Amino acid sequence: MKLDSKVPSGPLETKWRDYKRDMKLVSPNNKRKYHIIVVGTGLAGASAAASLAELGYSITAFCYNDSPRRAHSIAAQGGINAAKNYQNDNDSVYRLFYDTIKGGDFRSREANVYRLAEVSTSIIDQCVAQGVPFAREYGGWLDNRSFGGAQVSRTFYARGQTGQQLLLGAYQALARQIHAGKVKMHSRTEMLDLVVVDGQARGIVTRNLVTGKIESWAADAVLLCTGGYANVFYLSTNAKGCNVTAAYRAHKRGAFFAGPCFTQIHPTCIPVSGEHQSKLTLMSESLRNDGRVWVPKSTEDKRPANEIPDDERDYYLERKYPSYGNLAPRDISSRSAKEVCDEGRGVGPTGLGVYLDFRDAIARDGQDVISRKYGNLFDMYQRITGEDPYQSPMRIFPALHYTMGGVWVDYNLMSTIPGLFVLGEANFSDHGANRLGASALMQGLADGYFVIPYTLGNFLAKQPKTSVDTDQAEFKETERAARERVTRLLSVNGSRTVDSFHRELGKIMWEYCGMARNEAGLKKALELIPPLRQEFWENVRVLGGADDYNVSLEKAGRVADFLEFAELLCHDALDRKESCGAHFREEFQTQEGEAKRNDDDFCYVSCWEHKGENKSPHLHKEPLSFESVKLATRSYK
Amino acid sequence: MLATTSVGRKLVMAVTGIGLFLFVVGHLAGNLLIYAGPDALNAYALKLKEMPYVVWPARLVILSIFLVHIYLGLELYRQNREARPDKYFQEETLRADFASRHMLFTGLMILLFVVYHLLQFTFHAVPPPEHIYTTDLKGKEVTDVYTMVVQGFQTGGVSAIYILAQVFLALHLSHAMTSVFETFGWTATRFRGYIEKVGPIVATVICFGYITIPLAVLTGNLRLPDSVIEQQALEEMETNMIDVMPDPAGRRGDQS
Amino acid sequence: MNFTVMVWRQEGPKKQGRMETHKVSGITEDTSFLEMLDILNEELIEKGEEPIAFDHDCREGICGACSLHINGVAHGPENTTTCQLHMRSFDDGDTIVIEPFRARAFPVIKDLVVDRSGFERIIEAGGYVSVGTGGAPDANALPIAKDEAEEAFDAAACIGCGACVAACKNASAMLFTSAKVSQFTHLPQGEPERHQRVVNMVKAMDDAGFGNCTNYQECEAVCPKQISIMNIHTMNREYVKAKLAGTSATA
Repeated sequence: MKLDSKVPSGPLETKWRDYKRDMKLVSPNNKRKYHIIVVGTGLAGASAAASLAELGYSITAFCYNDSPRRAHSIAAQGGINAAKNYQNDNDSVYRLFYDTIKGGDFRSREANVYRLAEVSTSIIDQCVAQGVPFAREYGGWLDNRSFGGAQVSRTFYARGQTGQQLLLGAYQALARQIHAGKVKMHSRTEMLDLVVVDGQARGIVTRNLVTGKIESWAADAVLLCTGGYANVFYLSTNAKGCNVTAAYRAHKRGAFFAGPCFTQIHPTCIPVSGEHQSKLTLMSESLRNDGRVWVPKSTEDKRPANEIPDDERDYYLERKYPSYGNLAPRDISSRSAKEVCDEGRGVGPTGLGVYLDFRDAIARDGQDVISRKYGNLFDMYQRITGEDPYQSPMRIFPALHYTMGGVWVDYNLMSTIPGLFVLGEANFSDHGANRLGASALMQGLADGYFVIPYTLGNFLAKQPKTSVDTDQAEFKETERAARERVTRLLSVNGSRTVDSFHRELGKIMWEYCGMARNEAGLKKALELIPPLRQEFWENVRVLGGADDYNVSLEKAGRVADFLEFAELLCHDALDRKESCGAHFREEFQTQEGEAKRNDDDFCYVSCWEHKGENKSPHLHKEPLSFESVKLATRSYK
Repeated sequence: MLATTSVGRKLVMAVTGIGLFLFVVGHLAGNLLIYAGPDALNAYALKLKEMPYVVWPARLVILSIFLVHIYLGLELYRQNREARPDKYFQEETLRADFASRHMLFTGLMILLFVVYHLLQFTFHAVPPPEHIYTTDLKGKEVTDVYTMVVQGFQTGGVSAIYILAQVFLALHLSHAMTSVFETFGWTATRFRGYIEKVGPIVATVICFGYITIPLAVLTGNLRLPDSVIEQQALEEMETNMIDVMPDPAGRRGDQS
Repeated sequence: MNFTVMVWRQEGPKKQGRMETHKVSGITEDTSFLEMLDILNEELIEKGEEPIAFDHDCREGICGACSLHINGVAHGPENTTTCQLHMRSFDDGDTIVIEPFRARAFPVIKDLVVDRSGFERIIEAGGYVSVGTGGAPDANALPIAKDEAEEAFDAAACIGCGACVAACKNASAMLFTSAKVSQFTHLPQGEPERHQRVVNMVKAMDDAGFGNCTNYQECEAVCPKQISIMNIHTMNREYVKAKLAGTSATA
């Protein structure tokens, strides 16, 4: 199969405009005859469902939570980028585009990223009109801050809860359409599989999590807005329910999966406190503006932090990266933390942590100033750890946070299965090998509000409308397979809990495919995962029945998919023999320990095709060509 | 129509509550005339009596307000109970004070008291006093309200009922007065501290105003007029004379 | 640390429920409350008993999914969401009583999981600005005083967990509803629909079967996001204004 990114021709700056001009339209009175399924109602899904319903399409939407308002987009703290140039600091669409593509270490598609930067400004307009309470200056104008090492202030924010406010904005737009009867919302419902009819995505099979009812839904197109797969590592900053099932099921039905090894690690999370740990909590990176990162110089030094004199502390980020210091990019500061911990200098009960110390900042600015800036983060830290960060330094450690990889999509956000569109974190498109801060919210909303309403219409208008029915054999067959899988999970009746498998998988992934990867480790992971998967199917214990609210069953289905998907991720990491963005292969680094990218051999998007159960996935390459930017090496020295 | 929604019902509760509150204030102002002496109070009572075209409609209005207030109060209580059909196994109270949690109880106590109060002082169906005196006011023979009140409160038990009722009224008002501001949304955050004190302070003042009267009677600061004391002495003699026979009216001989 | 956990078990909607007692031992004080339940659940599964169902997702205090009534208080003793509560807030040997949020409008689905879709109906009835995608003017075309924006944010911080309903002795949803009404009252974007919004949302709230507000302030006391009852004042004021303007509920 030939991969066609469908990037329109013409100059980068006018591609999207010219392309839209040439698109076909669905006439207003025909729109309601088109049924669209939206799976997942976070930022991308809710904004897409609402916008499409406003246009007149008939939407059926699904989410696994009890309300769309609980999607994990809600947890994004920092902000959302937009090239508004309100600060007159010479920001522009081009600059946002360039920062994003450079931040992604040149592993994303130029045209997509440019479009993202272009529509970023409309997102802010839209959200303000919805009543999203962005931070404002005293004059009443919108406030901006600089974020994620950007040289301009283009980040719009709503205290530390920007994701929450943007999600609620999209959720409310969705609620309005539900009220108007244009969207049929099914919460506490999970997609189990995709239905492909005549090579096109024409529906899904779902399980009602309350009643256990397995059902088919037919449509003219299916939108997956199901988020990322960071939970393949078990411990991550994602919500407990986040999963890869919908995306992976689509992958098994023929959608290529792109760049799964691009997984982002966030440097400032609260360290693991013990075996019981169920998830990790992120603390805003802004802490690094005033906190100094250090570990003891000696591995023997077990004194409390405050008793360690300055000359026996190693402020390793300041030492290694004098110009950026504690503000070194996410991947660099994460890896440095891992290094010092690997040397045995990590702090805290598990030895997996480094200090983030505000002593000097408090001495310089006073506790009041620090408390005004970071009060809520300090409170959160104290609530979780029981330690007072005003008195002793915080302990932090990197954690899995975001996944840049996802289902491969073309310029229209359509996957390799016609009619299957993928939006937001679930697709691979815009962040390349690494995502910049405050760009996730931007991408989710860009896809949902300003891209899919156009590209979907174009897709639908270009082909004759055909009808499908859930009574068709393809639906019946997919439904049967889904039922069978549920029955199988319930009938294993082994001795290990689902969580114990998930934890073990997470440990393998973190150990061999985490912050730094190497060939031997990845091969080891590929050796360990299949037997674990086999044991799962032979020894998992899922109690309860198929026809009621069964949490273990839910989890089991998701973990079963993670157990397969993990292998795909490792394959991808093994194939990419270069270090780029968040993917760091220890074999490929400079003498100073910096990532060494290989543009000659790896300037492509890895697109994996599923070849069948227990068969190695097949790699397709979408070459990346850069017309407007020159490939540069990142340097933060 | 308003009363079909929760906020609407609360508004009606508040409006009727304000009406009743104004009545309570007016009534108190009238009562306090007792300190100006028998003639002032009796003149006030007479004035009311001489304006039936004002008093009766007013009474009807107050009665209907009262009934609406009671009906809606019971209705709210029923709805609120139905809103949580399954009770908690363990339920703590963090903020709600005694007054707020016992509005129905204090309200019903006030209702009982009002019935008793009307039976005693308006319909004279329940003693004390056994006998309603008349007095001469500027040449007119009028009901001696002053004496009636003082006689009424001279019984410790009766005064206790009145004092207790005023405590219930105070509790009821202290929550009601603050809640009125919530119901109408008459506040801004910066005034919140004051608003939350308004209820308890006003309630205490009103309660104190009412309670002073039985207290003044019990402590001898409000006394019967001399003319009545003479008349009573006379009657007592008569009573002693006929005491050998049972009294069909149930008057008790030990009354002093 | 060791605990005795008394927990509500109910097989399904409309089934008879009961309190069940379990021992959990060897819990460290850094364990979160939900992790303690995870541990208990693992033990139950190993014993062949069905795990206790409870709602949770983000486990960082923002999604609003977790909803346990602990020792008589919604979200337990720390004025946080349940997921942010840690076992160090309890004493070794404590008996901990865990119940679902209880209200007619929040029927139990299973064990500690309740159906909060009444909240959805309230937002659907008018908790938004009716603006379609694409029609918005430039974001800075509309300056908004910082104080107003901040007050709007304070109200908008609601996470829709339902603790206000759970704590209210009348199971009233006034705090939840008023927070959304109040957010838009503080913003010019909310102006055109202000009358219709408040009237429709109050109707949806009533239809969902919540109780009435009697100003107990229990809701504010348990709200993990410190939503102020002053929002209820604001909503009531808006309601009076809307009614005086002759607005009645649509649909």
